[in-house]
Amino acid sequence: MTTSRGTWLLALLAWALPACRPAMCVRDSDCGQGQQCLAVECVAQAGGSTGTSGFATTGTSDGSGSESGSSGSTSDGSSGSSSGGGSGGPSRTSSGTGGDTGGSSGDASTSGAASTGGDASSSSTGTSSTSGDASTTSTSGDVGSTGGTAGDTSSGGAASTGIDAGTTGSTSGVGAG
Amino acid sequence: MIASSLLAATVHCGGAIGALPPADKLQVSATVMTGTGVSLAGNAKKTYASRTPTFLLGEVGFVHPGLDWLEFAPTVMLEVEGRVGFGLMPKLRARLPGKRVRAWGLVAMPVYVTPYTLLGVQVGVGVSVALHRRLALVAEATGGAYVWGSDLMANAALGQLDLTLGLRVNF
Repeated sequence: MTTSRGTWLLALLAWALPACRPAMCVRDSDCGQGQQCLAVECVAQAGGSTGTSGFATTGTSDGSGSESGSSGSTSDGSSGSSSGGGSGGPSRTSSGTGGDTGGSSGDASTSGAASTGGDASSSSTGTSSTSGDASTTSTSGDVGSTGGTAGDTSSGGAASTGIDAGTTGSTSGVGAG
Repeated sequence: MIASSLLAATVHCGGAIGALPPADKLQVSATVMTGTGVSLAGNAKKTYASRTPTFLLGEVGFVHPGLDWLEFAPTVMLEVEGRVGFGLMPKLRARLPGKRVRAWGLVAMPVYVTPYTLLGVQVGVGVSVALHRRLALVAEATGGAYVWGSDLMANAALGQLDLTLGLRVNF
């Protein structure tokens, strides 16, 4: 009886395993340095940089032409974040929005993230807005990313004008896909 | 009262069987094994397979002489192919009687701790063939699932069907 069950189990495995598709990765550690396993494919891991104001920016690209990024800041008790998203390819259109909220002052600002494609057929859109009183200004440059195809590069800038408690800074980050 | 009972239970084979007298001498063995297999992961309602990176296992087995069918084997795991991962795995074997050839079923809880984390459960079967009074060839077939850890894809579990071969030395 046990032998019969074992035989059935082996037969089931022999039948089922070839039906499984080969995967580039099933774990993050299957991928190289700076990559992570996403949907059984290795994609560039979120990179990060920190600018002069302490804003940390991150950006990701899955290699297929879509990117996203985010940045956050903490200065003088205020915290904020901005994010930019875009999709790209040989002919890309990307856009992004971001937000930066001043913590201690209660003022809020949003950053506009603009991403431009590197090739001639690309276009980009971005939004930005400014709110709050203008006692101080912080700016951040944000989220540069490269598309999945060779030679197709896009770079973006997220400029946020916000109200922090007496801080001025700027950041810039670059992510590569 | 509770503390003394707990201590007594601990002395009696880890508290698993309270009626078991303390062993004068545990049967101790050391086993080194290596293995690989198939790793399975699901994505978009499809199952994907990849070869399990080659791993090494080093374990020390403890058997209470009054409970010969049960073996406790704390195990150290190393993934050594394309990465180096270190993990620990408490393992219990329920062994069938036998002299030269012994078979068993096992249950274990593999935990990779660095440089990434994985937590799972594992069940399997194994057999040992004595080559010498103190030396035996060991083979195990295991199936397991990792359900938590930093090395998993987002919202995905990882299955593994592995085969290990090794040598056991009985002390």
